[in-house]
Amino acid sequence: METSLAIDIRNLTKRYAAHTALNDVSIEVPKEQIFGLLGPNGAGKTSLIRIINQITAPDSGQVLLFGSPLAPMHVSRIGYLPEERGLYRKMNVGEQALYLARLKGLSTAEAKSRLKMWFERFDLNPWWNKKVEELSKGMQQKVQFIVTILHEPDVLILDEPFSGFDPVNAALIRDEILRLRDNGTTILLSTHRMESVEALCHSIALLHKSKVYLSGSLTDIKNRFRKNEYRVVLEMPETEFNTHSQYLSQTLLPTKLEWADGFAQMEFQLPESGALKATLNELLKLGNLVEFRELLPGMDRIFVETVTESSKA
Amino acid sequence: MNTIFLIVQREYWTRVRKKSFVVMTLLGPLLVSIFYAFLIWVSMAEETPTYRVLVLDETPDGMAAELSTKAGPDIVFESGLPGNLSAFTDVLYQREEVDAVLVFPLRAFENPSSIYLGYKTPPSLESRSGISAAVEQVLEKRKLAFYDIPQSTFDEIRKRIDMPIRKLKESGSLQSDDSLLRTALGLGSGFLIYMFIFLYGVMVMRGVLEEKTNRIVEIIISSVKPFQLMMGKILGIALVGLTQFVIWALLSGIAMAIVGGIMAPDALEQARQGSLQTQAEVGGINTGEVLGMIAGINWFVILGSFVFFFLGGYLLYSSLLAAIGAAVDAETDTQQFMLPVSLPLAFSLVISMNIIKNPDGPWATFFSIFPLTSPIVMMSRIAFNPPAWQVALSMGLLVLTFVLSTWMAGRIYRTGILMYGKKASYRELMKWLFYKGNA
Repeated sequence: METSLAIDIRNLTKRYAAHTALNDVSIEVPKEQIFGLLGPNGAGKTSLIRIINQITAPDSGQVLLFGSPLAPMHVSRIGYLPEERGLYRKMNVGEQALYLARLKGLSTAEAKSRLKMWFERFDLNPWWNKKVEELSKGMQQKVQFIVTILHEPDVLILDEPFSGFDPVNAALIRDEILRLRDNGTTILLSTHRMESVEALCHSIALLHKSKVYLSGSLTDIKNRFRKNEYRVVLEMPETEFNTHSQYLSQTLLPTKLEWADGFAQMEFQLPESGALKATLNELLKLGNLVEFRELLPGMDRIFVETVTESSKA
Repeated sequence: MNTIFLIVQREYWTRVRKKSFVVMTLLGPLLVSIFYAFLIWVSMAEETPTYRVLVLDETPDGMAAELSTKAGPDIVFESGLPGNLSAFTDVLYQREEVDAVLVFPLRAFENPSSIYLGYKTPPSLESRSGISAAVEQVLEKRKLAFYDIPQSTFDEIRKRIDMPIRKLKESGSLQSDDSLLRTALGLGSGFLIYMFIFLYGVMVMRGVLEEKTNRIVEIIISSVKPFQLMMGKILGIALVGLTQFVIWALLSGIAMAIVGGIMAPDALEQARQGSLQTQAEVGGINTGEVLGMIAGINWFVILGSFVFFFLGGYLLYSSLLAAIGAAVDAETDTQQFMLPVSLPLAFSLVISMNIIKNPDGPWATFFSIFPLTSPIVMMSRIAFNPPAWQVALSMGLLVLTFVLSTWMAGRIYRTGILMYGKKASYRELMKWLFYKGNA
């Protein structure tokens, strides 16, 4: 069955004795994209990820992977980097990587040659025969990342992949994630870090209190949260700015209005998008337009807004 | 399955190559041989300090003069000193090497219980019995003379017989008594099983806990099923245990042979005679008979059931211990769950020491069938040829129980290993048992 979806999550419900972890959750993850799974702690992200990995089973609902219901053979098509991750501390790095790769179904020879390539790439070669406990936390994370992607999975599930990395290594991992996406891997990224969501994700789903509160492409969601907020920069001398500033602050009710080095900067919200043309015409009379753009809400704001609003409800 | 094999392989190799394993495996036999050497040394060179006794003889005919000088190599009687009790007491406390005063009052013969030992340094158990025996001997001689009984007559009366104890077979023929050998065999193998279960069961628990606290477990169970991981670990560690025991057995044999060769052979001979003496006292056995007894035991049955109860007991207990390891966050939290697991184990060891007296009694029968105690208790009984139906029932129940326990452990395990920072209670564990089926 040909489908454009890598993961099709349909009406999943998972209950534990005391609480419901997932309540009728449906999410569609398109192929060959980076998909952000967002949500505050305890929203049900890990429960969902564990179901996709067949670590636990749902009470009801279904997960389709490339159109077919989850089955044991899918294990080798998924790469999973859990949030709670570690390695055997007393075991050799290379031996351990080999073991984990073989559990995913790679032959020893295949695993060895791929590991060699990746160890080279991540500057880990001198550590092959060292014990894991001798590695820094960042290096351990690199090893874990390599092991996750070594069997070249079609779907990569990364739970907080950047935690524990310094900025240099975080950038290294980010580049690898982007490269994998370009090569056709579907990536499910679960994270709290909204800047990585903005930088990497095409679409997202926001889980909160065991339910999906938001989902869709990042652009669509941002459009939904548009508030007719704009930023305008005009070129004008300070004397002129001083003359107009009272008029400006009365008509625009700006959230920001200031002059610096020959430029007047203002940010304001319009009651409706229809008022934009007239307002802009008025402003153009005051000076040369240098910059104009709509202020779209950041993901962190959307996140906080959605979560607090739903908590009130 | 291939993945289980990988897990077994890892569990086995990482443990067998550990320094602690190598050290323990080599050190074990060394300790055994040191212990063995020590035993021989003790029996050879037993040098206890002399116990010096002043003898105050108030009897009119100097009864104490007949005190044997051979009361013991470590006892010295000093007699013939003049003076009364207070003078003797002074000497006792003036002379450092004197330990006690033995008093024979005036009418010691008529009233033997008036003889007493007053000590400064308390006598050892051996000195006590040595001195008592010496005094009794003196009295005995006096009485023989008093009743006019010749020594030879008395010796004849006192002569001990070594009543042979034999098995009377249905055919009417007699067979050497091998119950001692069977007892030793039963207790020995029961104890080995106990050790194995404890040592390696706890190793399973630690391994599970290690994976949990290392946080590697979630990475692994995204590739294999939790049950496979648990079983792989249990089987891998069973192999480690078997390896260690086989090496121990081989090395211990070699080491004991070497030690026996180095230590004076006559000492060994002495020791052998000593043990033969005790055996002779009980049953009158010679080397040929011992060999006959060894041949008379059904080793096939014993070895077969040893392996069976060994593995059955280990599987049962290690699965329970694996569940405990999965349920807690730190080794210190294991205590509350360890007790109900270690109690029946320790209990079965105590039981098997007692049932040796009555290997077919109701307690022995019950606990050798009850699955939590049967691996050790039935093993202690097996050399006494218990009824076949009891052995079969015991084995069947053990298999059923370990299937049930691994099933239960598997369910607790798969939930527990992913529960971080949550302290599990028994109620919690019950809930985990009945969570809906996992993939």
